[in-house]
Amino acid sequence: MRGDFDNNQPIYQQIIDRMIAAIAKGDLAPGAKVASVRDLALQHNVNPNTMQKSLAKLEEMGYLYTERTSGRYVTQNLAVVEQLAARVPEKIIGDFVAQMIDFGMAAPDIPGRVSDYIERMDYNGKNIGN
Amino acid sequence: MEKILEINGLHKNYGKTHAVKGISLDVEKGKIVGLLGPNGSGKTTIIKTIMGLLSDYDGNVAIAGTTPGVAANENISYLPDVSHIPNWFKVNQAISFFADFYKDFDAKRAENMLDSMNIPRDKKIKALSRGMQEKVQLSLVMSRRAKLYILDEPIGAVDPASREFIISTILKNFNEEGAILLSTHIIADIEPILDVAVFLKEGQIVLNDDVEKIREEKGMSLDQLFREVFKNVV
Repeated sequence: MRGDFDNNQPIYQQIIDRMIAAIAKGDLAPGAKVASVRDLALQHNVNPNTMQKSLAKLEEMGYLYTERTSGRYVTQNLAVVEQLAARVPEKIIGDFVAQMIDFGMAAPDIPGRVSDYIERMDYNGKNIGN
Repeated sequence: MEKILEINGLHKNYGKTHAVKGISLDVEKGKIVGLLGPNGSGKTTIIKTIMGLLSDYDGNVAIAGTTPGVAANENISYLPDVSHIPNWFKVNQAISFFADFYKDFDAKRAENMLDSMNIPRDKKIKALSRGMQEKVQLSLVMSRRAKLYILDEPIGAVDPASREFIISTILKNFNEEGAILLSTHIIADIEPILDVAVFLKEGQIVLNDDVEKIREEKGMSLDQLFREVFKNVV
């Protein structure tokens, strides 16, 4: 999860997106302790104040909460996590479709291209070519 | 917010050449500030003034409330763009040199850092590669518990692989009770760790802003904005 941010966009927003995806996927499990601001900043190679801002926003959004003495945790509210898990694929598809259209592809042609691609995949999800 | 560095109306000329033309700049506690500009924009003059190496300037400068000089320098950990450690020193002599010189130097921290890079302590500094020398110097500078860290071109001479190491060393050892003033003209690698960017052009500040705000408002990276502002200069 480290580095490789798009420097054209606010980095705190990109960290928020990545952490939301991690919560949705269960990489950050409900109730799990979140590393300290400093450790996370190092992991991602970003400024600690930027990381602090991301975590504060995630807290405001209800995905994280702070236990006053022991640190930050992922929400234990499973309904929130499930809702997220439903939203993330939607967002990925949205981004993908937007990119394809931007590339010049007609929306109705996209599903066909996707199934062609999937047919060429092995069980590990790797494209094995034609 | 506590100010670690305050500069008010700083003006410095060398004869008829005005190197710095009345700049004002505050650096707050806990911030990493990039002093960015092409060669000749005034970065070095500002740093020299803060370090107490220039006396005939106009304006006011204060480091943690103290005007530049010997007393103020106790609060400053300085990484110059050229090495200030005698290169015939062995690495462990350089460590004891720092320990003798600076009350706030944490030798244990420096030793751990050098060990993590497998830098042999009994080697002379001049026998190390250029990249290694820079790493040794940065490790020593970041092992002080200073108020103000001044890093002059910390990634100037190192290869891209070492840049990442240097950036993470800065982050890992950043004392949040202090602040970092970092001068560079290589923006892309350093911009993820900056809070604030200060653009210097011909001795004047042409921009002083929160880096995330720049990305948010302009939809461009600091590197891109820098190239735009300085397109006729660099």
